[in-house]
Amino acid sequence: MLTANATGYVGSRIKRREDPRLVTGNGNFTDDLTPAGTLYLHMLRSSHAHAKIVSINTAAAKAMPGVMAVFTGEDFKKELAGPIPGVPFGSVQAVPAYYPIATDRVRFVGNIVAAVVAETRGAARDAAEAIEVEYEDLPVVIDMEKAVKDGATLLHDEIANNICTEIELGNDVADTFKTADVVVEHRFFNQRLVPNALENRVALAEFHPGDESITLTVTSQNPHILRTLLSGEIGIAEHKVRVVAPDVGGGFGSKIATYAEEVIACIASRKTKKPVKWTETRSESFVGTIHGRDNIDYIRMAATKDGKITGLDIVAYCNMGGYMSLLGPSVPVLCGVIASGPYAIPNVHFKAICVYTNTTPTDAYRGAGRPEATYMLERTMNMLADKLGMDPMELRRKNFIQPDQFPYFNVLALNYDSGNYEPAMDKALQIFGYDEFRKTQEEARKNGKYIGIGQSTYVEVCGLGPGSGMTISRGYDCAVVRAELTGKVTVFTGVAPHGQGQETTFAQIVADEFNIPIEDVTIKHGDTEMTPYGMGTYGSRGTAVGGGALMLAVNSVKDKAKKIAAFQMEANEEDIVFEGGKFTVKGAAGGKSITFQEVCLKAYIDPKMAPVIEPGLEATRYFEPGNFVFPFGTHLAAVEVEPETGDVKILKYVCVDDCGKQLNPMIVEGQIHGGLTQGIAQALFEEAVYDDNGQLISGTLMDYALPTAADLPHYTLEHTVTPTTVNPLGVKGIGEAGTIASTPVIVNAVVDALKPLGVTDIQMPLRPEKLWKLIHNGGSGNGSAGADTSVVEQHFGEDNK
Amino acid sequence: MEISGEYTFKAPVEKVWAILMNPDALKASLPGCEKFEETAPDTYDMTIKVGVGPIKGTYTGRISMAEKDEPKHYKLLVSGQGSAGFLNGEGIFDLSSKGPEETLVNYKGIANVGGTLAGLGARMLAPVAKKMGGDFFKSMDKQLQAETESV
Repeated sequence: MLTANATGYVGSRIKRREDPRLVTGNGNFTDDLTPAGTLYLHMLRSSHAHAKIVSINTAAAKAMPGVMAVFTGEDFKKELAGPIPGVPFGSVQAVPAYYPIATDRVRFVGNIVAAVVAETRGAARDAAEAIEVEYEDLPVVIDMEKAVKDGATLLHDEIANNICTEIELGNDVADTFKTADVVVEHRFFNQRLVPNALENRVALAEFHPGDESITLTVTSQNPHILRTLLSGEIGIAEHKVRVVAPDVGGGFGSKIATYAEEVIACIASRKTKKPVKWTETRSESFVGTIHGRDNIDYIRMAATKDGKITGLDIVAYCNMGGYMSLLGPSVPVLCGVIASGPYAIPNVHFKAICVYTNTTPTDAYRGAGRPEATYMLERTMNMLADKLGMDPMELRRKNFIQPDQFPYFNVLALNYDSGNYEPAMDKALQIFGYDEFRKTQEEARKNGKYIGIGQSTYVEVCGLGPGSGMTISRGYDCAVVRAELTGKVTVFTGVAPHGQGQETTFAQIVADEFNIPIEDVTIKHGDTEMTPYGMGTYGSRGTAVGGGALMLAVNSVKDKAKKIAAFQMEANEEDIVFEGGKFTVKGAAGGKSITFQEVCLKAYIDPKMAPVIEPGLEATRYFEPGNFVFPFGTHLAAVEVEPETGDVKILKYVCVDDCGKQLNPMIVEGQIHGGLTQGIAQALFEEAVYDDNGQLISGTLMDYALPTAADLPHYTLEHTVTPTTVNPLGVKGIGEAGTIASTPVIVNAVVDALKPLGVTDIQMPLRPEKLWKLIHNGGSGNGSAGADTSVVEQHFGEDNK
Repeated sequence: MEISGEYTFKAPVEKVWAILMNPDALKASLPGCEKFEETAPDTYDMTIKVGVGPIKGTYTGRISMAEKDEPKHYKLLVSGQGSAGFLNGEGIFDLSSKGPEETLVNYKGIANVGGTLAGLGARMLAPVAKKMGGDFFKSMDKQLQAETESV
């Protein structure tokens, strides 16, 4: 556990130490690096969603000035040790061979068909344009529900019904639904999103012919995992591969996977014996970087007349895209395990069908599975509340897992270690002024205004993860804490922050624990040659897991420091107390003491210690939590829909989140702000749209609506603190909470606003023209995907009613 | 993407038909056309240079005519690709005589575009295609006038 110390950094609103360099242009991003002799790589990508490659003619391209190499699929395959890996899951596990450069067939717009290496960016681009590719179009598969039908065109000849895998969790719910008083059911479409990190992906590969090693500097969230995978792809042994992630400008999950371009850059560098750099353009990013979400969710919920939920049943079609990205099917798993949210539901069944279609591969995107689960659950809660004539908050309160039920096994997979949901809800209701606002709403409705209240009470599973249960690997992280000779401390962490602020929060912990100024602490990350094997940053794990390892390493350093202090003061190690930056001997009041800095110096230079104590003062520790962590909270919003324009105005947004102990409330708030913004954007703005030919028709920032400050309200943030004992810091992760909770809040609010028109659902995103049409058509033609209940019935069989 | 429209020529239908079938006139009416070669009867390979923003670049493709029913009806098939994607389309052209010196051409087509072209599609391409259709006929008309005058 954390020590309370006079330095008092932990818990304070310390400004992010990384920001001055990042906002003054002194950051060190991959594209800032251009070693002497760097060559540039440009990809030729398919404009066809599904086609045979009949021929490729590279002669003209190869003859162009400055061109050093041109790669096409078959030649390039010979340079590879293995294809791009995907981690299978579930009962089918069909993983197609995914080569960085397509060999005989392209399966999505953006699939790489050739790569050019040249002396300048312009030359590489011009040469790529001179490559002639002849395609023979194949039927395009876009609709997941059609893709799995017998007779559908197959993306991969060997993969039946285009099914990547099926994942089933939970218990039998058939009887529950047969005997239920009330059943609500619906089909939701959780639309596809494009991550759009501020910094696009970049890869700089430097092959070192002297020792046949390679360094890849890259925009990665997990350099160690990438190093292992890359080694298997390019056939250079792991100890000769160094992966460096310098400053990385956001990822949101899109920089977890291993990508074709990195592999091509490495092989191009090995071939040319020169550094090779690839810098993604924004247009390329739209088709070449993973997408998120894209689920069709059939859900039904059973309850008693008085609002006790008895059963939940979900069939989710999850779009994998044209190939399997690294964690493609793990995202539906994360959706399934948390499908029943914070509610004590005795019978829950979840089935995901993961489907290949002619679209960009999908993978983890901020929240990864949990936003999808929370969206359908929280929307369905409101539908049930409507059917029962209950207030949505009353229904939620009635079904919360109670504090005395923890640890709570949720039937699907998880053991929630801790939680206390009602205090967060009460606090949110009180700050929001829920009851009064209901009266305001009633008055406004009389005046013809469309005002609604939206709610979401969520729980998320994060801090990935324990090395057991539903995970695919052990889930630990590591830290090296090195007390330097001069009393300064250098920390090497295995997590790879790219916006999460651990250069600050980790330094706060270290400074407090050793009672030294925060300026005396440096946090290093992102270089496989510098840190032991770490899993990186994703799944709200940086502080919950990486911070745990840091605490263990700090404590190990303290233990050794005590040993040194005992030697120096000729006392027993057990009697040494470290307080206020000084080591003293217990019970010897006013006696000898030695400072932390003096201990550091002695550790490295004192010859008297030579026969007794090993030199140096550092520790390497791994921490693997015994469980996930389960942050939770209540979010409420009030919206007004403007009938003349269809615009949604968010009148207020209140959230009360519980992420356990907050190391730095300012950073927590920053994470929540970003999360809320991305979640609200899914509700109102963002959508990756494919046409029937598999063309991404929202493939530019003019067509894909990212939120701006002008679109967003003031956020009112509060919190409760329910500690967890899963990690030494008592923290639970906050990076994804905002995204997970906020999407259904907004949709619930807009649906509530339009309730007088008979509206029960509106398909996201709730763009103005959609709402305007709804209002002007008196509530019909709402674009709701659930209008056809017979389709829903098909997915749950005969026991439905 | 659907494209349709009509154009009225002040010329007899036979003359309009002749100019629409004339490879030199076709080449002259395609903006930025650098190469236009007959590779088979009624089939032409072409290279077009486009200089507009994100769809800038060189496009190579093929134009062919089918279902010819002189002088009333024909079908035009177009396929092309370049750095910003591809375009495949077909259009039906119907000519009708409105008088000895007046011919109405009705055209209706469907074009499928891919890549960046499609990314811009809904927003930019339809109006651009409409304008290009209009320009095409205006150019044909001009050539027809020139021909008539020179005769």
